[in-house]
Amino acid sequence: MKKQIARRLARIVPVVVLISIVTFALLHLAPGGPAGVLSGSSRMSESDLARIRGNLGLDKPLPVQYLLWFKKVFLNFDFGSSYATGQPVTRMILERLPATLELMGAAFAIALILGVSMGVVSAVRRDGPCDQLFSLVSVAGLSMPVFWLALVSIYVFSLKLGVLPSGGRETIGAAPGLIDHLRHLVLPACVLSVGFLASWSRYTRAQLLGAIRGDFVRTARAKGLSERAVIWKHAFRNAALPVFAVVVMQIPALFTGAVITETVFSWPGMGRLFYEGLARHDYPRVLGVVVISSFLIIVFNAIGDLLYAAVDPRISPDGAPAAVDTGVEDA
Amino acid sequence: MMRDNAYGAFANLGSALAPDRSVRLDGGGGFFACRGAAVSLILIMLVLAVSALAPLLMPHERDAMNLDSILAPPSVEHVLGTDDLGRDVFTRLIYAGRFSMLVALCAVAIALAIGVFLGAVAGYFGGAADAAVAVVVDLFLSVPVFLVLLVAASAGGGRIWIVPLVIGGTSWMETARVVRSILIPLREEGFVEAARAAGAKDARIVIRHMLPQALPAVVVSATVGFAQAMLVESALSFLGFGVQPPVPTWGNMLQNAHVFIRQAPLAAIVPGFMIFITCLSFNYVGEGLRRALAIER
Repeated sequence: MKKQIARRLARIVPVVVLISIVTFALLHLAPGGPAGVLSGSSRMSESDLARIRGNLGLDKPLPVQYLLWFKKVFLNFDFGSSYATGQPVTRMILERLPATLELMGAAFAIALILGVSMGVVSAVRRDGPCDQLFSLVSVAGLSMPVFWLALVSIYVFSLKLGVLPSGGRETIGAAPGLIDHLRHLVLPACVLSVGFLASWSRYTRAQLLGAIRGDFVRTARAKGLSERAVIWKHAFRNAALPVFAVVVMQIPALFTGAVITETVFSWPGMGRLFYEGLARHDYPRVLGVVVISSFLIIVFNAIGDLLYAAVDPRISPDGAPAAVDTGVEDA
Repeated sequence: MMRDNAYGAFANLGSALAPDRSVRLDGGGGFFACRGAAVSLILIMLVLAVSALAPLLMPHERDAMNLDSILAPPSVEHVLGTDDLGRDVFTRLIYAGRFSMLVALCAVAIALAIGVFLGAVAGYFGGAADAAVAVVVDLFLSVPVFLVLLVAASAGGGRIWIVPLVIGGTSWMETARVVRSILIPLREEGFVEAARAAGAKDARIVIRHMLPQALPAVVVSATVGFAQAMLVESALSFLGFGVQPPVPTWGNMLQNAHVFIRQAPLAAIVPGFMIFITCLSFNYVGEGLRRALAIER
C-alpha cells in the first residue's frame, strides 16, 4: 500500500510540470507575448519598455525565463507578482482558494446526494414516472450551458422573485452572517451542481440496474431478505464503487464549471481570478492558477484512486480494475 | 423502421426517455421507435434549414447597429428586440446558428480524426503503443483541460479557426477509448488473420477490415460529441475567448447579457435556449442511434 501511494504521488510532479510548460508556452505564443501586451497598451518609449522587460525578465530566452519561474515556484512557492496589481500571485490565489473550495464543495455535495438518490429511485422504480422524469432531467442537465442556466436563475430568482442575491459572496456593508452567506451560496452552488447531478444520476442508475441483475442479488432474494435489504446491503454497495470512481474522475470538470459560475455570479474565487487574469493578460496570475488548480485536481484524483483501491480488494495496485468478474462489469 | 405493432412502440416509450438504458428491451426498436430521437431529429432539421436560409429569412442586416434603439423591447420590427449596440437580436440569432454549428462540426471532425487514429493505433498494435496512448488519455482526463483550452484560445487572439482546433484537440479521448475497445477483440478474429495472411499491410487491415466495425460507435460518439463541442464553444465565446463579435454565435451573443438582463431579458435568454434545444436534440439523436445500432456503452 505504501508503495502504491509513493508511485501515485510520484506521478503528480511530472504532470504538473508538463502543464506548466504547455501553459507557459501558450501564453508566450500569444501575439507579442506578455511584452507585446505591455507595448500595445500604453504609449511608452522604447527605452521604458526595454527597462520594464528587463525588470520582468522578459528579455531573456524563453527556456531561461521558464526555468527562473520554475526555480522560484519550486524553492519558495513564489509565483511572481501580478502585472495588473503588483500583488504576489501566491497570496492572491491563497486568498481566493477558500471561496472556490466552498463553492465546489457545496456543488459537489448537492450533486452527489441528489444525483445518487435520483439514480437509486430510477433504478428501483425502473420505467416508472420518476424514472422517466429523472431521465429527462438528466439529459436536460447535460445539454444546458452552465452560464445560461446561471443567467436564467439570476433572472428568475433575483430579478423577478427577488428572493436571492444575484452575485457576490456576501452583502457589502452588512454584518457578516451565516444566513447571508448561505443565501449568496445557494444559486451558484445549485447551478454548478446541475451537470454533475445529471451525469451521476444516470451512472448510478445504470450501475445499480447492473448490480440488481447480479447472481448475488438473486441469492439474497432467494434467502428471503427484504427488498430494502437486497437493494441497500447488496446491490447498492456493489454499484457504489464504480459510481465513486466516476465522481472522482469528474473533479477536473468542477474547476471548469467554477470558472464560468464564478464569473457570472461575481463569486470571488480562483475561477474568476483566472478569468480576469486572462482577460487582462496578467500572465503570472494565469500561470499560477493553472498550476495550482492542476496540482489540486491531480492530488484529489490520486486520493480518490487510492481510496478506491483501499476499499475494493479487486483493484490492482496501478489503480486499474483487475480482470475479475464483478457481476457488474457485464451490465 | 417504425414498428406498427403497439407492443414495439410502447415498449420503447420509457426507454426513449431513458438514455442510459443498459439493457435493450425485447421489444427491440429502431431509431424511430425512440420518440425523443424522432422529435429531436425534426428539430435539428428545422434549425439547420433556418440557419442555411439565413440570408433569405433575416429581416435586418446582421451587424447593422442602430444606436437610437439600444436594448429595445420586442416589436413588430424587431421580433426579439435589439442588443446593446442596437442590432436586431432575431437576425443575429439566425446567423449565429450557422457559426455555432459550423464550429462544433469542425471541432468534432478534428476530435474524430485524432480519436480514431489514436484509438486504432492503441487497439491494433497494443503493447507499448497502447500504453503510450493510455498515458496521453490519462493526462488529458486528469487535468483542468478547460483552463488550458481558454489560455490556448486567448493566445489564438480571436482568430475563428483556432476555436474548433482547440476544442477538437481536447475532446477526442472518448472516441479513442471507444475505438480502442472495439478493435482489441477484433485482432484475434479470423478475417483479420486472413487479411494478414493475404499480405495486407497494417494500415489496410485497420482501415478496410477493422474500422468499419467501429463505425456505428464512432457515429454515436460524434453525435454526442457535437453537443459537447457546441457547449464548449458557447462557454468560450461567452467568456470572450472564443468566436469574436461581430461574427455572432449563440455563445457570444450572451457575452454582455448578464449586464443587460434587467433591460433586455429576452436577448439574454433566447440564444442560450437555442444552445440548450440543439444540444438536447443531438443528445437524444445520439441515444436513438445508440439503441438503433445496438451499441453497448
